[in-house]
Amino acid sequence: MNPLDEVRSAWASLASEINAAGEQQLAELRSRFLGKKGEISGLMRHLGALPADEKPTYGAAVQALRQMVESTLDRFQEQLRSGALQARLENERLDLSLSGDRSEPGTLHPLLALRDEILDLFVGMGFEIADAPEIDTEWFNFSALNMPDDHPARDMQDTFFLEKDSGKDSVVLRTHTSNYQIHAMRDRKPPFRLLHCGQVYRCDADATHAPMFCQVEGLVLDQGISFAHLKATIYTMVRALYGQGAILRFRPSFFPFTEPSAEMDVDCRSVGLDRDGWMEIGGCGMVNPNVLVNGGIDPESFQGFAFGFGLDRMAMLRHGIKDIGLLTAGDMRFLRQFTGLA
Amino acid sequence: MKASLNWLKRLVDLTETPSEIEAHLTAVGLEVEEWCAVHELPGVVVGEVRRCEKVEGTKLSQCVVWDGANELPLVCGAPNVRAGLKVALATVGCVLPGGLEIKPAKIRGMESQGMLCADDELGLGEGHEGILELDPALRAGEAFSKATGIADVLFEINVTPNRPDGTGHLGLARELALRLGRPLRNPLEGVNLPAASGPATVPVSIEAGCGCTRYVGRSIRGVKDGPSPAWMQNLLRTVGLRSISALVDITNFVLLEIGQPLHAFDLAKLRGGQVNVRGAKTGETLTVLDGRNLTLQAGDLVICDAQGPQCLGGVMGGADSGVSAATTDIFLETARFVPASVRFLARRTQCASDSSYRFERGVDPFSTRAVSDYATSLILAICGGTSEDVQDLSTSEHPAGKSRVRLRHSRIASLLGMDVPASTVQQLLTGIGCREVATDAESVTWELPGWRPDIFGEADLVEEIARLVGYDNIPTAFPSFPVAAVRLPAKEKWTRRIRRAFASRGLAETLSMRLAAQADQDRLRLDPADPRAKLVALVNPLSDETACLPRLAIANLLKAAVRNVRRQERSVRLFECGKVFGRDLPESFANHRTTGIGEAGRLAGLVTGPWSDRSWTGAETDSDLWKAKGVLEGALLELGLVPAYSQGAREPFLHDGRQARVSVGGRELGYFGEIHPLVQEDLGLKTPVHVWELDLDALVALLDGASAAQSVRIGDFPGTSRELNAVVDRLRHASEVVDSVCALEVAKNDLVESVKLVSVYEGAGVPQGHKAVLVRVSYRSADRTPTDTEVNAIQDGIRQGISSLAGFALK
Repeated sequence: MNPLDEVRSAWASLASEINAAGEQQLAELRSRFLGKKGEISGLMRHLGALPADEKPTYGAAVQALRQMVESTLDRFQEQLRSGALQARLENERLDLSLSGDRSEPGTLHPLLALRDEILDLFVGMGFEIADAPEIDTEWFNFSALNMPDDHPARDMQDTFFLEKDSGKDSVVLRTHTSNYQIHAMRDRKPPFRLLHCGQVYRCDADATHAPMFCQVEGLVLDQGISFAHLKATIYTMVRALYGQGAILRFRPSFFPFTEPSAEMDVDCRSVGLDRDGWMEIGGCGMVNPNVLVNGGIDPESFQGFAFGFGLDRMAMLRHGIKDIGLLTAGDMRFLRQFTGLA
Repeated sequence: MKASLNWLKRLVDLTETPSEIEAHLTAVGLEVEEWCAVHELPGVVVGEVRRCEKVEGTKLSQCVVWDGANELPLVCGAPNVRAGLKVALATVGCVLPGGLEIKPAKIRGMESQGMLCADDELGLGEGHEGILELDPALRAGEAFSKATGIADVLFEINVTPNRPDGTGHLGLARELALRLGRPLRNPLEGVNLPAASGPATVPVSIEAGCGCTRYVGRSIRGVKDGPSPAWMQNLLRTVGLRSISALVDITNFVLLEIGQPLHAFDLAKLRGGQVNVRGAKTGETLTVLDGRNLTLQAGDLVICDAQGPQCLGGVMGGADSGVSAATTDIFLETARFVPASVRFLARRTQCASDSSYRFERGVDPFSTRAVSDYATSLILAICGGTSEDVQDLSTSEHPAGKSRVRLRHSRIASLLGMDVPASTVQQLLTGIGCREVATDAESVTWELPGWRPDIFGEADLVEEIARLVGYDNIPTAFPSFPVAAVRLPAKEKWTRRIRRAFASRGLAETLSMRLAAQADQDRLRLDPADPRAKLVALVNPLSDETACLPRLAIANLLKAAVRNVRRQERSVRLFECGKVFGRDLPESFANHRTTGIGEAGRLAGLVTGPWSDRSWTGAETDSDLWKAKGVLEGALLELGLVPAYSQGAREPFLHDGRQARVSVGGRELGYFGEIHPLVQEDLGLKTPVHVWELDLDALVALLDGASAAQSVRIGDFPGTSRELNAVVDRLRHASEVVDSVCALEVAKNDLVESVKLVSVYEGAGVPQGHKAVLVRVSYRSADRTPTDTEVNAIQDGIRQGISSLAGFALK
């Protein structure tokens, strides 16, 4: 056997050993065969003794052997490494069904989130958001809105009175958001489009009435503003809130501060409720000239419309809330449900 | 207002279905809340008793009753059953209004198929003396309700306070007649009274200013007060009124038909035979119809005889002077009382009645006499008798004539956004009773009907036109406005960001009832001299729990915490952007008026109970002060505000050693701390409670006033740092050390990048009652690497500076 064949067979005899080899043995084999003084390098020493015509063939055969050994050792080494990595990763496996480190998700209040939405809607329609006090005098809450002292309309609204300093106009918790109309008119000059949203109070409490509830009110004043403009604005608003399919009805009604006055009803089925008939959503009308005068505005120069509606029932319908008392109870089990109200 | 369809049909021809009538009334602003068919009594027919035999030893009779098709065996217990009688026969299978289902029965072995009914069994009255005896002319087998005319439809109408005319069938019929284009049969027109029997014998006087402006009185003598006619009883029954007697029924009938209340006195009981309408004298008393004995106040409007009050004017009759079965002579009152006076009297005496309901809204001041005539004609026709001359007295306060309103054509178009033809306007306004009295090129002047006191001005007439034209027929049009950059105001914008910052930290936003109990405030241990101790109280609260206005937002959150814990919900994390009220707070809109009570926005939060970020370890940890403070700080930092904490004023409801005033940029905003253990115990809360309450308005002002964050140059050169360990009294804030370093002149060198707290240590190596505060000063330059020499020089300067401060020692 020539030395080349000897080395070949020596390598071939190691096949099973290589299969079982660890990193250490593979390094030894690499050194034994491929090292500078290794067996394959040693074969080249025989090159000089060969006849010239055999030299290229022999050289190529040695080189082929080197490559074969090298690639085999490389392959086994790679297998070893990836196996070890695999084992490590397996060992480090975690149960990702468990929750991450986090606090419970926080939530926004369903009524106040709806309020945000309504405000955005009206800002988008070009309305300025106005502020108003919740504590006011009877004049701003009633008289200025064309509800004089003995007006039966005052019976419609059970009013909370506050202890007052003697000699002053009676102080009340406002019974509606309409008091903002007078404050707003006194603070600005028309034309304007205004919206106000806030809490109001009435002596009334049962499953559908709370002594405090939330109203939203709009006021538009300019020259030549008409009932037709009111209708178009309300349609736009109601469809933005309840969907394009909402069917709306204007029904003659009575509010001392508007003339003509209307109540707005939506068709229950058209807004996704599972019942027939109409649902009252709010009131509206052309601002009564007396109210304009009380706001310091000349009714011959400016006219306009006002509208208002309650938010509590809208929030209750939207979220399937049955008891209005839950809205102000601060119950974590209730509040935690309203995720996703960004 | 309850309205009967049969009644309306008396006044206007109606062929429409009830739901069509509902739609018409609702469309003109007389909202029908609901309607229902009444007294239909399906299964009850007219029967004829063909044979009838008393059963010995019982009250029963064995009968054979003809139902129009068959002869039915039937056992009846009524004393008045007899052969030949036409009866109300409830047939087998029918269910009576009381819920009784008629089934075939055997009574004492006798077969009985059906039941003969009395009033009460049919829901028609209370009589149970015997079965109903029907008109012999009725045909057996006919449906009972149809044959007798009692089947009706009841409308429940929500009449707005501006429409007194809607409180009578006549007003409703007038609207229907106009809408349907049919004539109205006004019962007040064409009343023919027989000539008076003689001059009036009962003198009447009205005291000026007493609250009565017109009084029409009439004596009718020789009446016989029996039952009222069936047609009247039927109409009254539909609207829920039990028939009493003809005289009472007639006054009720006219009230419900016309909307004008009347009162019939028994003339024999009017002492002195006179009527004086006047203000009561202090101490006078009156026993009213509901049996209460009222002590009157000076000026209360009363109708008196020679001895004293007999009737609370416009509100309720007296118990002594009303008509009864024995009455033969009556004095009929038809008056106009001032709405405010009736309203006041009805409220004070808590005597709201059908009369006061109508007088408060205002009855037609010009039809008083006509209504008296109409009622008199009914009484004479039904009860007989003769009437004396009428007495019609008015005071100077009575409206002299109908009011007039000038309506410009241009105003209609301008307010409604549509042109309404003059002929339509004329037809509609005439239809509601207006009369054209003058015209010019621009306008028409209208005289208003007395039954519409709600119409004052032009806008009111435009409303009439709008509602009669139909709101549905008014077009829609968009107003045109100049382009404007509209945004949320600062308060809304920043409150929204604040709310999201807290919600994103695991807190639930709540909305507290802004009505509180003084008792809850009292638990907070506030000094009685503290202006926040006494809450602003309501004059007329619903309950003690909601009797006051909250002054501390935290009181509401504590209440919510208690409620949650009682429901086994121990982990409570709440925040709120709400309002508090107090006489010590600045008032808003003070340039408009004064209320003496201020309103202020508050950002409040509360954290208590279990708080574990890793939920599955099985170890439950309670939130602590640092968790709660972390929420508050994290949210403020996210908003770009760096909070500082100082040991200022102490809140008595907070743990004395665990509270701080919170400020930003030198402006104090409120407090943060742990609820005082005594308050916590008092509330029954098991875990420590951490709270904060900040001035929301000030916070918004800070956020809105903040300038945009500015970028500083970031260099690529390495920096270095040095530490400093200061020993201070343990009661001092560690932040003072950092602040003191920063305040040193030497630390203002450009090379100083930051000064940060590393650790706070108490224990071995630190003197008792002290703590070691380790602070790291970082040095860096954007242009070069600082040299050790220059860094050390600054650090030495800092050390010297700190060690020279009182109370600071370096370790």
